Amino acid sequence: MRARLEALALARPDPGDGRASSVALAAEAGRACLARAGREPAELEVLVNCGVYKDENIGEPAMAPFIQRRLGANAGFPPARGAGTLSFDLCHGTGGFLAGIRVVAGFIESGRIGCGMVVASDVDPAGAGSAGLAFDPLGGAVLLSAAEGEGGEGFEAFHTEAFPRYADLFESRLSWVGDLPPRARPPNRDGHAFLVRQDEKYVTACVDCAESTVRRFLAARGLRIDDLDLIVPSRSPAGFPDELGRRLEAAGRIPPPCGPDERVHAAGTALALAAALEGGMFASARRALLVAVSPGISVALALYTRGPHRPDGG
Amino acid sequence: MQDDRPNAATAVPSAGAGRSSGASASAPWRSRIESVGVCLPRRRLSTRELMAACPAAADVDLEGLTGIRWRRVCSDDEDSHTLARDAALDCLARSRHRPGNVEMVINCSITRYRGRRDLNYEPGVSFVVKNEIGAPDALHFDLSNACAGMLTGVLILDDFIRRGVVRCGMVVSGESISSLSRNAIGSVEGIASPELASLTVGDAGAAVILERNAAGTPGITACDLVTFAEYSDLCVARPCPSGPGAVMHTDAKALHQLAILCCVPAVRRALERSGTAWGEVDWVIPHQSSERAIREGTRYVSSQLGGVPKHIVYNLEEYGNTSSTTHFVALHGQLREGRIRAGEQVAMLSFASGLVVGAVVFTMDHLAEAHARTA
Repeated sequence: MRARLEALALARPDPGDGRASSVALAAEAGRACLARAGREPAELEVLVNCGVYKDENIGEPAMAPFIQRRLGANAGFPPARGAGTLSFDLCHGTGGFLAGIRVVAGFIESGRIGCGMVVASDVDPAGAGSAGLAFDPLGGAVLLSAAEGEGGEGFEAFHTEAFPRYADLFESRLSWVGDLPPRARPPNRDGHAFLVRQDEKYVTACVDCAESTVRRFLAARGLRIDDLDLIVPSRSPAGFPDELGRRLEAAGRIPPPCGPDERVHAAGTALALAAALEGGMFASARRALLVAVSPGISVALALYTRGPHRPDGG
Repeated sequence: MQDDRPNAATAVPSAGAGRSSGASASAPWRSRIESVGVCLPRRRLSTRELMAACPAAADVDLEGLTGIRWRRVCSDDEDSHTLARDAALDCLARSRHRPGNVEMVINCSITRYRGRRDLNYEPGVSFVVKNEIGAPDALHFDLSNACAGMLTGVLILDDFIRRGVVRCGMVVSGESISSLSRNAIGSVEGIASPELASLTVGDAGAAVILERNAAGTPGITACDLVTFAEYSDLCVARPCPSGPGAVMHTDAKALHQLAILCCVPAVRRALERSGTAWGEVDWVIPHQSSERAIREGTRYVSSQLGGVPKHIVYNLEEYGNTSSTTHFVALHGQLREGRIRAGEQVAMLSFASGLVVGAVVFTMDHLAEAHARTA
């Protein structure tokens, strides 16, 4: 039983809200997603949060339980429905959302669950005091469930490749700076701050890696770029989707952003999928390829098809 | 390079209808634990030494309350990364697999320190570990699920293996978590202090290799974890504002009471899927929080499920609470001492912040002999 994308939603902070909350954004996107699907929160058997930059940098527990509680998904004991909900964080940068989809889709395929959700959101934990952390707050959520029948729609294959020679082109860390001389400290209130460094070659390297991965993946399945009706590159890092479209000579198959381009992080795949859904490109695509990259660099692909499930290719 | 398709060179046996953890229609394989490795910091710190630095809590008998006499703590050249990497290398050294066979690496550390000053975010620890152990092509990601981290990693890897996506993978964690103790020393004033639990932690790395086995053979028979998020505020850790490391506030009493209450249905379900009963379990390996909590917890589960398991594993005296690594540090110790034998039933129980409860159940196989040979 393969997994299908049942609903998707985004959430942005209200302009007057001040400091955004990663938990609130993810939960709001999750609620909207459930509403679109006409489902109850208690139907969620798994909730995976893939956001990276989070409220107060909380290390324990995972952020997913806080989001699960806001959603009201089997939060208390005993669970409202079935065995309850398992929630956890999956941390894989801008590729985390697609990795989360892969994990949840696998649970559905193996029969472990019937319905699960992947959420992502990023905020600056220090408000605006983190060096290099310049992401627009955005929450994204996708609901996955078991596809009905053999001829329906769903995820047909996932694929990843790693390019560790580019490991030093993007790095981020939380650093304690309180005991450094004042001039050496980045602005912060708490004695620690994020240091995020993206090399100017990073986006080009991401595109190089993604292009070669896409071409190898398609060739192995006996497919060409022209056999894809839709390509959905993550909207992060900024500049990645447009340049990948040019490289693949497939700009027309990539959904344009619905509004002003946003500089997002872990929710980049959700933002790209939203554009594909809103423009009607996703619904009409017989074959869609989702593409995401993570610092490292690793490239993740997901092939989504409509029609008979052919796990062996083509 | 990883593709979500059963390996083309291996025929996938057809499976009957129905849903079970062991062999669902789309999960024809079973996973087994092939190797377990650990990395324990060289430095030992006694509870007596720790409490001597905590004069405001002079009347707290931490050792008597918890059973913790010693814990390992990182020296300057050890951190979350080195603990995870060296546990992974120890695991490989005991394995018949070469690094290139490892197709998936999941890191589950709560702490991700590089040195004392930096908490690593991107790329993740799993990326560093897979490259340093010689598995650069492995599918990888980090996950975070408090002290249930490694069991959650096992649940995910087990699912990938049972579906035939990977044949061999590793779940790893390196916990340099003793900064909690360092940062709590000035705050703990008595037994009711919300930072008292921070004094129970110890540093450790652990790694486990799972590999594909035919359905019906010994191996992992159930992974059942559930999150009761209503109680997620009962134990929260965040970066320390005044210096490197973290601070953690815990309502230990409420957490313990709710954990033992909430875990029963999940443990029952895992045992049913495994076709075994609580009283037939040979070895229970609970999360190592405190001896009293473990004793009361297992007694309550026995009262609800009936029967009494043969052995409950404690290693708190020597290592304290090593957070996400406790189950595999404990399993490693039992295997090293030749206690667990092939054919015996083992249940690892989760009691983790979140609140995450449940069990991973497996039948010990020839790992027992293989591990003893490498001890």
